[in-house]
Amino acid sequence: MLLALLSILLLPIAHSTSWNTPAQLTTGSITHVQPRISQDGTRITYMANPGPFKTWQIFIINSNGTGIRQLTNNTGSNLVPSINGNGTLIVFYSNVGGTYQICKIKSDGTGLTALTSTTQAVNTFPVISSDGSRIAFESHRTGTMELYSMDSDGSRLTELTSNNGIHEHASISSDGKLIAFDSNATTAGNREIFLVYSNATGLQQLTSNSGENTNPVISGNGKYVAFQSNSTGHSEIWLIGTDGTGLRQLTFDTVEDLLPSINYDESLIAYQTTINGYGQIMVINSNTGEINQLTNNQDNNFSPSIDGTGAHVAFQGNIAGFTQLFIASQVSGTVGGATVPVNRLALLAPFVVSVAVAVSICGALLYTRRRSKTNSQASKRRNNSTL
Amino acid sequence: MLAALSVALTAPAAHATGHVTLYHLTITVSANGQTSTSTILVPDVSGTGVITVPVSSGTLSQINGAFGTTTFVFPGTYTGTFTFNGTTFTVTLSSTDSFTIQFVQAK
Repeated sequence: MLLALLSILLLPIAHSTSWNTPAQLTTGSITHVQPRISQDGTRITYMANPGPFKTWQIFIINSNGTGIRQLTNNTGSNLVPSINGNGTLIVFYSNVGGTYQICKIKSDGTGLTALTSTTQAVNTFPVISSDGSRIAFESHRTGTMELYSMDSDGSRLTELTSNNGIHEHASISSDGKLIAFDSNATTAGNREIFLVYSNATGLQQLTSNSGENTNPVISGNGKYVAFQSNSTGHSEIWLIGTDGTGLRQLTFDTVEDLLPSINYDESLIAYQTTINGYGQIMVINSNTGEINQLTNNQDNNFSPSIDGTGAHVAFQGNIAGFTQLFIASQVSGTVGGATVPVNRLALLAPFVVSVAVAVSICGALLYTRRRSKTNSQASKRRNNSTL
Repeated sequence: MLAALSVALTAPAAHATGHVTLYHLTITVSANGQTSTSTILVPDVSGTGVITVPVSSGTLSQINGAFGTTTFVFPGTYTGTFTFNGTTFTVTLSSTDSFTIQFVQAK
């Protein structure tokens, strides 16, 4: 019995994950796209095209569906927002001033500021670190599209790449120090995953796969990068450590698995796949390989964004001709599908204590009985010697 | 309209410097219960990731009427509907590449 108990305690403990039916966050006869959820899971930024201008504007909404707020309202196109970890700061690019510039705005709608001011060159696709300190973006200011980083106040502008390749899809770690991106500046000319520190040091090619390796997303802790690769013939989701070790394929199906989004500790990765001709949102547990299908409809779900804990996934889906935003949440009590780190010694403690108490009690009883017996025998001996 | 879109997007098929970024754009058209999907390569001659396509005011109006926008940011997917000769077409533009297409009125 003791061995059986120990065996149970020493087995890996895995909890399967359950997800609620996704909740629809937006309504109305306008298009809502490009959702990005904050690392703390409280807020989602996105773009939509309401009147009067009918151009793309930046919005924010609480992940429980309350507090919707339009942050920009101008004649320009305000595009592809990125949000910091606690959902208080949003960066995007806008051509309201003529040329696309990187802009920032607070979640309360104040503090709209253009962080770049190029006259001709476009500046696009900014991503802000969760701590809000650093922004990576693309810019054409040298005549070729390169990657740059800067502080969230626009200072310390740093050019990260400087060659004639195509460098795209920057993703930045929570502390703003490490940036993953894909580039075709490779020997074979295919796209590979690269890393660079946001101060432009440490540029390195992380993968040497065949095929196209794109859309990297770096985990918040900066330890892993998930990406899509078609090296097997069609696009699958892969994972690799930022130290270059641990490359592995996570999905193995016959359709295109695209646009990964990774949580803080790289345990959960959301992505888009196609099932029966329709886009569906999936989440894979990188530890156990467990896959959860979050959607099962004909809405052509797209663009998943997972929060830091992996408890929420925001995405877009098409309802009656208009794209709306949705959020899927883990059922309370399930633990991310991950193998939960357990201090097994702590689990054993009550058992050990119980055994120790039992042994002590038994020992005490035996000691008492032995002592009593010894005393009795001594008394007998004393009586005998007296006799 | 779809033909106009395709021609406008695929016309500049080469670039003098030989360095042109090609983005994948998948166009799905559904009508009368039938669906057709094709993927075209959209050349980015400017190299900026922002592709500006001048079209006539009529086409611009049609695009806006169908999709509710004339600026398409990818990765993304956009669905629009328009009617031609009494038949309703549903058009979906989608790509997982990162680029922006903006249709503007030709001068």
